[in-house]
Amino acid sequence: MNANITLGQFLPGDSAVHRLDPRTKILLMVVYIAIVFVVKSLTVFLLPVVLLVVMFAFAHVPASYFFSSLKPMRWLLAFMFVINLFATTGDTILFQWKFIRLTQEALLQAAFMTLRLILLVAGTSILTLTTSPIALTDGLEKLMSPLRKLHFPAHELAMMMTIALRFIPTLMEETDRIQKAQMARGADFESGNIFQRAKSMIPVLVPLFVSAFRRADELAMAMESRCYHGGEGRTRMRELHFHWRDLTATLLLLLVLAGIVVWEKLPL
Amino acid sequence: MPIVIEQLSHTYLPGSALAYPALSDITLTVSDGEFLGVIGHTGSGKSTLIQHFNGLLLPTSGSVHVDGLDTREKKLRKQIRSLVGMVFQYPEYQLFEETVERDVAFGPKNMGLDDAEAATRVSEALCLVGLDPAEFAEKSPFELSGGEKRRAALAGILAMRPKYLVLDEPMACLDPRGRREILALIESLRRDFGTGIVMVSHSMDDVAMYADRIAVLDKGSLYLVGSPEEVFSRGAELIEMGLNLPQATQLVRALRKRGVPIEHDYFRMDELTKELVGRWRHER
Repeated sequence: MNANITLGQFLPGDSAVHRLDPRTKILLMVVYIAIVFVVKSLTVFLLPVVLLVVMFAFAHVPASYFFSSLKPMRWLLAFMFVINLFATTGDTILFQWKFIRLTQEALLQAAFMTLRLILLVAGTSILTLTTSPIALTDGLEKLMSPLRKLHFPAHELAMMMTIALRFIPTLMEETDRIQKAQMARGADFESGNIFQRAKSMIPVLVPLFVSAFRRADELAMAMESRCYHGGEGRTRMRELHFHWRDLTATLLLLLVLAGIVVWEKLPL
Repeated sequence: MPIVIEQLSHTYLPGSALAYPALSDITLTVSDGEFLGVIGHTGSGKSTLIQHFNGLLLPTSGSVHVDGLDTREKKLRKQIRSLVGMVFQYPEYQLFEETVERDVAFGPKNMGLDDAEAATRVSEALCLVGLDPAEFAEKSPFELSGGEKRRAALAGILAMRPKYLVLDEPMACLDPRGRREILALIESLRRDFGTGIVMVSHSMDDVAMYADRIAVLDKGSLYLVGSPEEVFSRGAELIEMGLNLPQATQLVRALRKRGVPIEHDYFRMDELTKELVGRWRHER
């Protein structure tokens, strides 16, 4: 049903990016987001674009994934573009018709914002495409563990995320099944106005919630019967280790960030 | 008029990197009032096949006609779905209404029947599955027992008075008594209403006992269709596919190995029992 959603999907592989420590990847993603936001001019934007292409190449992710990661965002992107196009004021008028006015500044600004959003989405999709959900939450837990001193439930949060991610495909499958079962009884999810459609989802949502609670119960029971008692003193099967490649990647990205900051400051 | 499946192929996610051919080139007819058993190893395409019977899945190539109606025609789909009742695995997980009565009425209401007609259908269907309407109609479906839930869900489909009933492992996870009740219900539907039955099952004994014909699916292809005799006479091939033989056939083979000469290939336990009892009496 929703198999074409790339956002948050993991693509198993053995590329250089796949083998990076998840903590490195999360931190580098923060650096990458900073890079995208630091850029203020269209020419400098070339750098993060090149960076993105290089990342995709190193991760061995086919270009088709780039487009499918943007697909669910297409309406938001279009919306951003249009809003910026007409909400930005400028002097260089390209086109005017009655109260509609299109300026060069607005066009630039709209292109700029849309490009920024595309870079953000496509860049972060590399993180989820190359990092298994388990590794991702492991990394997050490790990164958040210093906060435990402040009674921040890092382990519990990571465990909740792991379980939530684990159950997304299961619940999708379940939705599909229940939907089909109700369609077989003549339910119609496709016609009618928005209220009728929302109402037609009740026969799907009620069984879905019932089964989600049932699964949660079963999972809790299964975890308890295997002596799960929270993160206290819990060791892990795969310890995370930093390698030289983590250092290399970090240095490279910091170099790009520094380069961009310098380039922005230089009068070009 | 029958359900006619012609050269049906189905591929999941066609054209993408994840494309997966689940069915290829299946030609099969289900006649009126026939009981067709569908067997096959897990992943052989049984569930994919049965979802084509009422247009929940559409053929990637080939066609499916229900009483001459093409499932690809969007306008006919509602009509097709009221002709072909579909009971999924664990149908109790589709219950959603506040009362059993309202849940069972969901199908008939969707068919556009008025309240009076829907109410008649509800009590009729509840009686069929052995739930007394006086006792169960006002109960919440969530407070029933497992077996009762399944029967209530089944009633929800029978209330549409389908001409064909397609069932995906209707007896899974039921106790022996629950199994017998469901099987007896299916048999009586066929006998009293002439409902055509398509039943997917992992139980060779059940299909051997009830089916007129058995379709054997293997890796998305129709390996064999035939009477239980024809199908179960090819035991070695079935075992090769990860399937099994009915207990009666297994017993016949074991007895032959021990030197008991049984000429006929039995596949129904009741017939074999009769033969063995007769033999025993004769010997005494």
